[in-house]
Amino acid sequence: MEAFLTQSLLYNKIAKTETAIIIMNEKSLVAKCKKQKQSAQFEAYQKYAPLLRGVCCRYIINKDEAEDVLQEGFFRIFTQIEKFTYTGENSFFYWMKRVVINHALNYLKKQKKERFDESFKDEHLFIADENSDDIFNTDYSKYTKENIISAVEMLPLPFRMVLNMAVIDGLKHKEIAGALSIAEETSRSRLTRAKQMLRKNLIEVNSLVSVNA
Amino acid sequence: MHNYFIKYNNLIIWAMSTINNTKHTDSLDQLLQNTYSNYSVPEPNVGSWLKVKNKVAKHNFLKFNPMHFNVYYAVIATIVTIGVGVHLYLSNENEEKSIHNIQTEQVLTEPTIENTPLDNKNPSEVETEQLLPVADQNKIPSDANENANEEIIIAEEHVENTTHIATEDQRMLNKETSESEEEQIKEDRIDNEKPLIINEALEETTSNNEVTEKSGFNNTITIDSTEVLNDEDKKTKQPVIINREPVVQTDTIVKVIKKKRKRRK
Repeated sequence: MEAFLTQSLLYNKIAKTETAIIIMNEKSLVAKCKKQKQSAQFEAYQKYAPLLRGVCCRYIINKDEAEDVLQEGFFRIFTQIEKFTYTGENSFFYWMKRVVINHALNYLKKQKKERFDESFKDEHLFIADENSDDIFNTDYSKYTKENIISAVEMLPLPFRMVLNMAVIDGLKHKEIAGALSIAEETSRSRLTRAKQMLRKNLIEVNSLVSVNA
Repeated sequence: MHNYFIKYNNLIIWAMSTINNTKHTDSLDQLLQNTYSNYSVPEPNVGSWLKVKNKVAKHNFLKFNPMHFNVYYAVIATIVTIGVGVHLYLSNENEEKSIHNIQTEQVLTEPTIENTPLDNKNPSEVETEQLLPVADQNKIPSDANENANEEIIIAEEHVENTTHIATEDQRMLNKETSESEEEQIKEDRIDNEKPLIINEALEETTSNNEVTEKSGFNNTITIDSTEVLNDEDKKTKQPVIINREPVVQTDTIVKVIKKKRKRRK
């Protein structure tokens, strides 16, 4: 019993010191980045670039465009880092994530306006399937991570954006409406319809996988 | 009772369906959050960091930051270097100019014999040039100089003519002496008295001409006209040189002598 207690205390201490090291590293990294030191910037890029690239790929499916948006996002991060104030653990990452998302949304607004218009035409097609019985009888445990990602990528752009912002990034409808310059009601309706479409996509993907198997 | 049961049953079914729906939506949200919680994509291109680095470095270079070298410092540095370079270049040039001026002044203030244009001239020419300042001291007016020059030129012409005439006259006189001794004696007397008579004659000829007095000419038989120069000759500093031999205007002198004789008679 005593041995178990000592072990648990030791693990707690190790965990605390690890978190402390991480926090100190992040804090010192931010301070060095504020001084425009290239070594710190490179360290931050190596640490956060894969995660932020994933964020970009959620909003922009084309990988080359996503890479361009990521580079521009990092440029903004390193040039506007003086505006950031360190508040706690992962605050730097969340701030960087927000900067990249805003840039991705601006990019999509400027470059992909035609895609927005095209995807709006398909909005009414999914209203008929709203009361289908299969929606509530799905078992999500059987879907793999790749299937889910491909099902999300199949969604039309405005719905995918709202789904990303609301469900994955945890933004409120007011913020989404402000970012996409739409009404809050539109944001809510798009979210519900996005979920319906996702369920349908998941079923389709699952059926395709089972047929191939 | 049965009717109430049916109504409540419908309500329970609706409530159950809504709860089921929310459960499904919550499970979907959780599913999405779990899949995208640590979703990372590896770097496709190696040079993406280099692009970011160059872009940030360029931005930092163009933005003013007192702690880092930027375009403002670069501009200031270039301006300072250009200014210093121009200043040094101009100072060197001025020094070279001053040295050159000093050398030229030294050359001008200490003339050598080689530099003077008198090397290739005759001693008579040198004498005439040395006499030039004397003429300048007398301050001869330009009109007077012109008149004097005209007179001198005429005198030159006369000299050329009279040399021949004088020789002929001497021949004639020799002939006359051979004819009669008395006339020879008289002629000898006249010859002895020639300078005085010629002086008197010259006084008469030059009485109306003030130029000779102003120009400093002596009322002698020999006319030294080397002091007077033409304008063109002044420019070239090569004075007209006239023979310093005695100029004898024999025609006029003979006429004057004859007149004197007549008067004496």
